[in-house]
Amino acid sequence: MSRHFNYELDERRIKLLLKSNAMPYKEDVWSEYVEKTKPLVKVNKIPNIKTTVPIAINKGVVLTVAFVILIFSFTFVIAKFVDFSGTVKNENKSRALVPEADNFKTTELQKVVEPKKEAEQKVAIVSADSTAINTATTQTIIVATPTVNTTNYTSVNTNTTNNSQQITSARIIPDSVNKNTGDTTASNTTKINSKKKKKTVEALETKPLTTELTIPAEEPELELR
Amino acid sequence: MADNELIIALSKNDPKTKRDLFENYYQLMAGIAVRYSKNDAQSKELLFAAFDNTLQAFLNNRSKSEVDFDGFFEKQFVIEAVQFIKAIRSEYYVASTVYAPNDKDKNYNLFDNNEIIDFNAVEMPVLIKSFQELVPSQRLVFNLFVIEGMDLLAISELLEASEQAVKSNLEKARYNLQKNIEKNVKFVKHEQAL
Repeated sequence: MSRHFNYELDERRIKLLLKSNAMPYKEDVWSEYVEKTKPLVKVNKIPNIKTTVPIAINKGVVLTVAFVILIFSFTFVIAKFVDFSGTVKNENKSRALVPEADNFKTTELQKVVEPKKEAEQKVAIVSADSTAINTATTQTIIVATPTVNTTNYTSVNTNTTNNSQQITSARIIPDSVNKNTGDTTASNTTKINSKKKKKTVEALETKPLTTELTIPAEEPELELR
Repeated sequence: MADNELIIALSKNDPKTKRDLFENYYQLMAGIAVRYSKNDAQSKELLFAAFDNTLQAFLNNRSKSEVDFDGFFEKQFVIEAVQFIKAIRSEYYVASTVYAPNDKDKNYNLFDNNEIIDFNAVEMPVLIKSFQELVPSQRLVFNLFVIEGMDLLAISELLEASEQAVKSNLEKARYNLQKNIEKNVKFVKHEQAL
């Protein structure tokens, strides 16, 4: 809009003018209105349809018919492979809801009284198999003299019923068979055995150091130049 | 005719009652239709459509219509006129054409433009023509705001536009209306001189 625009219209006057704008009534307008708003008259007369339909058989028609036949034949062949009977059966099949007696069996809860688990008992199970594992500990107890008679003890786990007693007692049974061998691997790892097997270590003779290594007491000092 | 009798007659689609109503309200309807449309042909179309719709609205709201028929008719007719213009507004986007001004028509006389126009002495045909030359949106807004006296919010709701858009259209309408009046007054004077 231009900057120098001054609005000079008197809107009140325009309003009065337009409100009082009188348009004379004419009969033509009403007739025009009636014509425009006339409801559509139903046409009962059926137009004559030509009975003879001229069909010109040409290349296009033949090809079209052939194509349509081809499509329908393919459709028929494909439809043959599809088994619709299954779906029909499923639809018709109404499964009768018969309650099974097994489902409604009242099961009594059997109270299984389980014995309380006994507290873990720390039992030093000594077996013949454990010798292989415990060899490392027994190696320190190797005695120099192979003629020592070692008594093998086997600890038999006593089946204690006292739950509170955590420390188990091990009955020491002396082995009836005396193994007179230097093989001490069969010995047990029990403290009793280890204590008994402790022997005094033989003191070996020490060799005196060579004289070459000894430093002479009187060594001439180097003269500094 | 009482309202109840009128309702019964209209519901029966009585042609005589319809014609009486048409005749009685023609002046009012034609006055509204002329300033809402772009030409006489459109004003007639608007008049017929809005008349039918107004009667239909009266029948639909007969339970509510405790007010007088005159007031209801005028108000409803304006609403129907606005709806009619809104419905055909899309055609303007297609049919609008811009004509390039012809150089031969140009007037290089500088004193011609300085002619003072008395806007208070504008004749009715010039005013109507200037109105009809406005863009539909501007015409609608100016009519509703100035002539009908509606506020911007109500106009924006009726036109389904924002208040800012309505305000903008109103300003443009004022400017364009004055320009159209100037142009048409000059044109009339020119024709008279010839």
